[in-house]
Amino acid sequence: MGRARARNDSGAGASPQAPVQGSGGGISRRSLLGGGALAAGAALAGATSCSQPSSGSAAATGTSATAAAGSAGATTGGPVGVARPAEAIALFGKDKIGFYGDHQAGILTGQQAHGVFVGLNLRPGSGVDQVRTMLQMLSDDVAHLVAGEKPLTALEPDIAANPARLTVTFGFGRGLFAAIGKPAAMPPALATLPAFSTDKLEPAWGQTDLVLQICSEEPVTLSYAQRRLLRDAEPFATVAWVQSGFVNSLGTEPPGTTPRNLMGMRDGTANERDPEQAAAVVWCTDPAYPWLVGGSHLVIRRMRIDLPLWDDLEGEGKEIAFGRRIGDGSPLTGTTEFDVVDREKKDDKGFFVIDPGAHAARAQPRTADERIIRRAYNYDDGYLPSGTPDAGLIFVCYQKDVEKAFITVQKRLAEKDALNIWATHVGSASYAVPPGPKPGGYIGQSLLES
Amino acid sequence: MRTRTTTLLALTVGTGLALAGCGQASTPAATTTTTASAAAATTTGTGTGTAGAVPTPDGKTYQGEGLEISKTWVKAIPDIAKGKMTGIFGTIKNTSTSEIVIVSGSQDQSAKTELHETTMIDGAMKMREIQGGYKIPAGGTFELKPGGNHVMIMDMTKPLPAGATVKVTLTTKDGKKLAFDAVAWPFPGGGNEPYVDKTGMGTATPAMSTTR
Repeated sequence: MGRARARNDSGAGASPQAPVQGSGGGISRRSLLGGGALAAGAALAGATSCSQPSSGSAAATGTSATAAAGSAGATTGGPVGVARPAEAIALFGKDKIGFYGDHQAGILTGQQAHGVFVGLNLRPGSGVDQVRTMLQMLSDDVAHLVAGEKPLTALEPDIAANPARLTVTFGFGRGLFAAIGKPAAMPPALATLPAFSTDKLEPAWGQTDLVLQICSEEPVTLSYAQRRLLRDAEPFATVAWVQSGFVNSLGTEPPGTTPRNLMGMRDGTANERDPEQAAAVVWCTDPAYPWLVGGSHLVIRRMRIDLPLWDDLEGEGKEIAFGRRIGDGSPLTGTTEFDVVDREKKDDKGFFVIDPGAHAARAQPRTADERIIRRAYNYDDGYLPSGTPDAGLIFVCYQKDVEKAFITVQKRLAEKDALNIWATHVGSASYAVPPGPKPGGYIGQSLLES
Repeated sequence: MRTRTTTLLALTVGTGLALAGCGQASTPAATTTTTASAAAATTTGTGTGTAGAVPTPDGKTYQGEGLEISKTWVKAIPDIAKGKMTGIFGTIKNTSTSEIVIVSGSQDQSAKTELHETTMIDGAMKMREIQGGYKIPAGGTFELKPGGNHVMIMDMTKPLPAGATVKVTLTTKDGKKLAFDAVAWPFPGGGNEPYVDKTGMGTATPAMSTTR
């Protein structure tokens, strides 16, 4: 069997575009080679953690891995090398998302695996001219980068050649509006979020004048885009914070699967999946802010999560707190992920099936205006001095009216949400997200030239 | 092979030093800059960037007689105390049916403009004024780029902040002109090649390694 696999893998290398298919036994080439690459631990891995849903048995997986380890070296560079196995996977490096349009990319864009949020503050003395120039230069950079082209002043094209669905989304904080002399152009509720009773905000993660949300399926591309953008922002602004996040890698689960956060929950199940409904949730239409029509309201909250405490919550505790099943994200009142959360349903003893304090119950929109589009990323930034992981969630949501949506819901959650035991809000910032740039134009043009 | 390795190491170390020495504190104050025509905004800088740049994603193409240039830019010099020269870059295309030779240039930042080449002199990359101008064959393109051929602004007397626009004119052997704008972009780490003056005797400190 091992030799047959090796031949298959050699052949696969000649046609890298061929999609991965599980073999008849449900064991994909990736799982085999992955096991092979970990040959030293193959026996253990096979026995304990190779849980391909439909693979025959742990013993079979272990055997395959061992066989692959011995025979696949010729095509993979050796089981102990760092080279990735030359197996057939669908390549996505050249996938591109356009920059121009009515709306900015990176909002109703299928969530990429990696997301970095950079909070920037304008240099003292900045005015409308500096802001405009900075936005023009950064727009120029983004237009090149998302197309897989090198930025104007970069010397080599290679590192920029795989955008992998790169998007860069701009948000303007109240300081930017002050700098350009248009403080009234920002909706007041968005300019300053209210204090919530459960907040334990740290200034390091606070409000900034500008935010860049940079997302890609490919972390090297993302890192390059980030450094090129910050290089060109540097004459105009300084970096206040960088929040780096991730969700499940592309290809881990079938496309469209709701990602899991670090608590193990499906995160984003409640998002509108119908494009028209999603558009109705996020895009501003308020004629009182004509420059913002087609834009959105963005909230970024850094939530530190006590994961060791959460990990050891026994029995049904996690699902009671969440109001959904951990496995498939289905509400306790339903059977599939997208079934409605029924806050009224009671069991035969008269108890609510979903505890009224459960997160899913408390967060459920009471009106259409309360809906948000979640686009959260996990973060894992090492350990705190206390010895617990500095990890959690970069909660990110878009909506057309932050007062009616996020603020209303967050007040309810601060009042009561079972997850408040584990999740602490340590960062908070809100931004007006301008509409998309016109072809040849720049981000923020409708604000700066209004 | 050994030589190349040594050179790369030297470059790396040099760049590190240059970056380590970068301080924004010394950024100069107010600079008035005439901006690109499309923006039509003249502004006074406040010690940070300067306004009015109109970069477009594919770059504006400027037409001359038998020549055009696109992807134009210039290295910003935020601190004149650390460098008094900088490079202008872009892609020139000869749209005519005969060779064109560019022999001189001028710009609105200083009185002195030189056409430079970067070449190997005594085993090291150095930049110097080119002899005989830039020869561009009929239908050909000619790259002005960092580390290669570039139009040099010499003897600058005021800083050139990021976002500022330089107005440039190149002149051909037969007196034709190619006028264009070049926006200043940050380029904090470059310009390792020493400049060799016309006589080949003296050298000057390169501008770019010290722009921040």
